[in-house]
Amino acid sequence: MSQKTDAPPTILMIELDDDTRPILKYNLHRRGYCVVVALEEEDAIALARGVRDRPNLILINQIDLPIDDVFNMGRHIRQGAELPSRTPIVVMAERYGEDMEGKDVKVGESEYLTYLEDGEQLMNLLHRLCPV
Amino acid sequence: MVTENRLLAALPRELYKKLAPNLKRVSLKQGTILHHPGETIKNLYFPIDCLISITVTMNDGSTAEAGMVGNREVVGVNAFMGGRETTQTEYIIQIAGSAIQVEAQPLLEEFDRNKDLRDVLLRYTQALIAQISQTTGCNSLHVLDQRLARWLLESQDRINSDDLKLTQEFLGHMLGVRRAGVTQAAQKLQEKNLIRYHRGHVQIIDQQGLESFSCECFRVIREEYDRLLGAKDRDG
Repeated sequence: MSQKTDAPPTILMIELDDDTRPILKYNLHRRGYCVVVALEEEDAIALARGVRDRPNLILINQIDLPIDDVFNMGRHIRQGAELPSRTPIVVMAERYGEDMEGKDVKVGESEYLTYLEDGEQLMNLLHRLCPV
Repeated sequence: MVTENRLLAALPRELYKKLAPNLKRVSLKQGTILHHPGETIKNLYFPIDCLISITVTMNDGSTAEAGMVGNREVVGVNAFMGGRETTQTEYIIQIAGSAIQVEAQPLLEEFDRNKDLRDVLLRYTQALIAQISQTTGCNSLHVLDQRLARWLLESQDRINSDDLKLTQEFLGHMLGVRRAGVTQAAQKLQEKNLIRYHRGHVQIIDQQGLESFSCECFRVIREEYDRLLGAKDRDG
């Protein structure tokens, strides 16, 4: 068990967009996270169960789905992968006005909806929920 | 600071004097659409310090940029071609500023009888085709972070400023990608100390580094423009 304390935290990233996926993964790696990439719910559950270091946080890009559906997907993944119920779920909102930019909204016990004004905002939120 | 359009400045002095009564300086606000698809072009615009995007909109409302028009270019080349309507494209002001507006009719009349004017406008049209061709290839083949770098360089080169006032949403429309993609690509460029990005402002802080990071398209287009329109003084 002692060797696990040195392992960087793992983020389970569900990113459907082909343009965004490699850059987001790169940016997370650069900040010291291990990243497990999935394209859909079942895939995410299987991956989260299989990796040696269990995900410490689930990160999902909203893409074209309604927000509630995205959070439900996150909860199913958390449950299906038998992750602790306090494992944070972070959803990146897709469409929003300037008035929402820069806001991180807590929508559940450990669930967050972020309206990014820049990439640093996401990194700050992840670091707060899951320090490297 | 830019005070003139370089394409207009390249015209012979006598020809410029002749056109002068038809030239009018106008201010253009961000988001203004100069030509809608299908409209006959009534005015051409020679940008001074504004930046204009040529965009294509699909049936589902998604958009992408097909080309850019800035300080050594002109909007409305269709005006002196066979069909004088814009085609499927829109011309939208991306960075506000001023331009010289000229009515299409007198310019077309002069185009028909003046070889010097024809030479300048046709050389520019050739450069524009080169730009659009390269953009097509770039959009298909290059990754988003390289394309964003190239796009910022193209914009900077056209308005001669390192500070670009652009939102993520607007950049997403121009690059034809999702907002999250722009956010992450900008973050990557920022972490490499190439740009600074905050709340709708992009500042290029390492020009050489950004050029090295970008795909080859910026250099290819710049060389083609320099060949066709004369090298641009980039020191001032």
